[in-house]
Amino acid sequence: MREEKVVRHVLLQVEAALDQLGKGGSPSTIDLRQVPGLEAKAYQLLKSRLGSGEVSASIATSDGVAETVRAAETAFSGVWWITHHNGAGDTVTEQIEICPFPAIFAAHPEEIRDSAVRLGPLCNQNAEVEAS
Amino acid sequence: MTIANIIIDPVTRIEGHLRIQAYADPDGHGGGTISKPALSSSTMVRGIERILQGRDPRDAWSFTQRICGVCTVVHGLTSVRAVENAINVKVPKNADYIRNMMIGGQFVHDHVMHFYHLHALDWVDIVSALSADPTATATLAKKNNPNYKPNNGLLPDAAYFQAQINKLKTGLVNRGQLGLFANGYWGHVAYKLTPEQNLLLTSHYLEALGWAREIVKLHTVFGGKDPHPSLVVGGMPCTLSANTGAVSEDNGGTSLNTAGLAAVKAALDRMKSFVDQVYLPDVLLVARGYKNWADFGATAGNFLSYGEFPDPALVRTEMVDGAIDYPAGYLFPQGVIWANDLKRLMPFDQAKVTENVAHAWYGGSTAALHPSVSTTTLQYTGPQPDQPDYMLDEADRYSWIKSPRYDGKPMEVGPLAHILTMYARNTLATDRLVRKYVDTYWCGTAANGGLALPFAKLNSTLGRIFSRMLETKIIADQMAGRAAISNWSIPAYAGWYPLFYANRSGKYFNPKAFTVLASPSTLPDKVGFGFTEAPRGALGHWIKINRTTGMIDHYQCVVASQWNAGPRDGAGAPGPYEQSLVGHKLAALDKPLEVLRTIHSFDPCIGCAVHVLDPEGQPLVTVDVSHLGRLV
Amino acid sequence: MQRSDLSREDATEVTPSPELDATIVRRLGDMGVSRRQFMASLTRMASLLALPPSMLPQLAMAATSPTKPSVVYMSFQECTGCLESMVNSFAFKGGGTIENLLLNVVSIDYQETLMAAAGAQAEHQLASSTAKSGYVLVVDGSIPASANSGYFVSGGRSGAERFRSAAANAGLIVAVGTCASFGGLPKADPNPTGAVSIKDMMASLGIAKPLINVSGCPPIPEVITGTILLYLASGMPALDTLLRPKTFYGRTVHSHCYREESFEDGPRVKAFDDAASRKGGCLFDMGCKGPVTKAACSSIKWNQGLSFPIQSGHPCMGCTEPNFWDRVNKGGKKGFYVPLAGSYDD
Repeated sequence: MREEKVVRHVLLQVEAALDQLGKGGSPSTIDLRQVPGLEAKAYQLLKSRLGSGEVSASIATSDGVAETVRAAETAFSGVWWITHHNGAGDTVTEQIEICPFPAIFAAHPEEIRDSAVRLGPLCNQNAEVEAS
Repeated sequence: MTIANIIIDPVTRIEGHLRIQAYADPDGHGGGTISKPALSSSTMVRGIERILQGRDPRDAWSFTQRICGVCTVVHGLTSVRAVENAINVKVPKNADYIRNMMIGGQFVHDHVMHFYHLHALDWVDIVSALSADPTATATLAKKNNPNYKPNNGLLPDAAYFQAQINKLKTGLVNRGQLGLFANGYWGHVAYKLTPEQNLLLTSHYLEALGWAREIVKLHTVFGGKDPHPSLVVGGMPCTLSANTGAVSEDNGGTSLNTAGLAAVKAALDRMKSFVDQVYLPDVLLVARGYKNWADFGATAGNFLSYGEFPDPALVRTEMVDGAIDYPAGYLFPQGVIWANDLKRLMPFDQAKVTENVAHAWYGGSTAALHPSVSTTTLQYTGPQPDQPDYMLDEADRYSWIKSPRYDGKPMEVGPLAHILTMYARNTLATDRLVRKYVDTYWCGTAANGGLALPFAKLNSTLGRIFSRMLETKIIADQMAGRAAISNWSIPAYAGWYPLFYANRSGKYFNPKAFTVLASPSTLPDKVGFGFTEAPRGALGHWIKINRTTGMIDHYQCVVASQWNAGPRDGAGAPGPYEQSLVGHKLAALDKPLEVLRTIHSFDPCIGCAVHVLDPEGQPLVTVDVSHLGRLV
Repeated sequence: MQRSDLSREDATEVTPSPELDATIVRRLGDMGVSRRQFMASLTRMASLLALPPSMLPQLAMAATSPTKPSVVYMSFQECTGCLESMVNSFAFKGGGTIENLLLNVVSIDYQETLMAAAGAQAEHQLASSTAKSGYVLVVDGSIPASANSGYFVSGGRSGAERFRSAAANAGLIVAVGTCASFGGLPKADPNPTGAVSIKDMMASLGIAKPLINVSGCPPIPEVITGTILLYLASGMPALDTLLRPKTFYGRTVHSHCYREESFEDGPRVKAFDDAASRKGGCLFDMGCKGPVTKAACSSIKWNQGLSFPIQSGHPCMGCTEPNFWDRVNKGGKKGFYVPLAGSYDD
């Protein structure tokens, strides 16, 4: 079957990427929009083969109306299914990312430093409250 | 006495290419007063009507749509209606509901963007906004726009406005790259708003950009893209999807599925809420700061409206009669007002429309002729470009725009004409609503949120801005629906979208349109007249189809900005732009901000105005002469 | 078409996941833009443009540059539709959209429809912006070949002269829309004003500069902004023989069209609003020019992927192709509702 062939091809690549990551390599990404022949049936088959795991995370739009990105771990640890939505909630892009945790969710070291700076005044505020 | 030349070329923040040349009597302190009619000149032509000759009438809408990418829907629909009129074909109710929403969506989009992105910078000093107090601005926002919550669903607070200032500073000022805001008349004495008012309006300028992108989705669902959405002679090309889910290779379907219809509904709701919460109160805010602008910019008081937004509910037999056949039900009336006399709305007769080329760069007769018989030849006799001192002379020809006249008179068209003709008609609920809004907001006392201005001063620069906002409010409510206003005795209206939605499984296209055009010998022997009221006013197309070939013999357009921006006619009577500038006092002759305020109040759309030519000089209607014979 | 792609299995790319360096993250913080929203929009855009995710850091660098490259946008014989399209892609709010960043990313130093300055002040702004070198000159509209015709005069100068002086110091010229790219509507038969494309105007003026054509009537917003961003991120993109970026103009509308299967298997639409049209049948017999039109309409679609002309029931008019207004179809006839000549079996 056509879709079997497409799905097998993607899974082989995921396997290779996991292998690389396991040996200390870098995370990698497959853009499903760019996979030739991944039509509705093949897509469903791929999704069911990968299954679902324990963890999911999402990013909301800046006005909090809808989520823009959602990541869910598949039944295979280190294999994440990432869905991008537009403002209308339609799916724009889907990716498979092979990584411990998608970098877009993790706080960036620069942001962590910035958080510490911003938190400073709040600590002082509390001190004032206690003192009064 | 020395006369100072005031030249604005290019006039920016408009569509198209416009030059304004005015003369001022200097006051000896760097300023002066414009004491006689100015010159309004359009400086670009393409020749679209000429290009249309010999083409398939079904294609004409796509050519005329490209007259202007701003008022793209109306130019396309006017052509579609002209062909439908020429071949006597009526369209289904759904097509009229959708057309109403597409035109209405265009009004809301254009008018809001005109106010914030094209006109606001004549009234709002962006540099002053940078020095606003964010806390005071938040207080102002709470008072002026109490229901508008762009701050993650909350009212904007001081931090929000501080962030806006920072955005302007880091994005533009700190990098020394002002971009679009460079070299404005910032600091001009004619700017009167406070820094906080300036910041609030600047915030809305930025937010309206994102809003505009959302609301054009209405056009994308019905027409596939925007600008230049798809239309068709005989109805609409879009149709209800057999599959309610998303379109796909496996399931097929069309854009009118559950998601597409929801997107239309969402766009209409966004239009309505932005107009109510932001545009309406902001226009009043600006108007309160510039009330003296009701003293400037009046035209002669002759107003013309072809009429728009037919009511599909009046159709008796689907596709046998059409909503367009019931002018009494048009939201915007079809009619004429003479000399500011609002007691009488005179009937409109398209036979009284003429064009005149006495001061335009065309050869042939300079007599006033009906668009269906006028002869014109491209003939530039202006000064040679690329030489020093390019100057136009009102004694000569000086524009690519012809001078349209109605019953021999220059007419103002557009929002002010719409509001005044509705006021004068006073038959529909929406007409009465217009009276209530004008009484409340324009004439009403300051204590009740009004401007306390006399009704007669609606014919002014400020009145045009007010009328544009008011018609936007009327249209936005008409599309999405309007609750009853009991203390004004105004009944509820379901709205075009809900009415369409209830009828969505009905027809979208009358197949007769394509079949009759395939047998041209059976076509009626007539000149087709199609019209719309564009956001800038009366827009008419005249078409003659060859009954042997079925192709276009002649095509002529007389459009909104042509009425307003045209040059003097054979009798020397100036056009509305030219007349409206008389009496303007300029604080600084080298920074003619005051002239821009009034010219922009007409919302110039010059690409539209200057497509009107037929350079080979053929008579536009010569029945029984083969179309090939006329091309020679 | 997608079936034949199946044989190209090696085309599936596994690429390294992108990482942003600290400089970019700091700049985003200064711009008040969320890193996550920023990355998400770049990812979506890269996916739409079929770019490898590994290119994201380059795009991010271009989009957060501390000095904004200057863009001078000049309009000639046009209808403002191209600008309307481009403006549709702008949004300041939220900062999460790539189009938003473009407004922060480039400095639009001259654009007659949006700029604050007018008249003498606008002319001064044009002169000072084009006195520097290396700016991107965006042009919409065709230009009358004859400078003395009077068919285009602005600020007392002809279209040809305005273009010549604005092009002199430009680093790149981008012709936006089919009028600028190929002459478009003004050039349609019988070309009453002697209109020519930017490429032809450059040739007659002897201007040798890099040129990108972004055709379409109008082009898709993301195609306009995406082309500029691609150039800023990685220099001149790969172009086709008509000088259009292959990324956007590499495939026909037909090849990505969701109605492509019914081209082969039916049912095809025979009249607007017939049963096949409600099912989403192929519009070939209604005159669809999708098979000969290279454009991204059926893949990127319009206004955030909402629809495109075929999805809304109308045949493709072929507006990204040269001389599309005058294409001769079946039976030797011009017309948007006349089917293509030939069979286009694939």
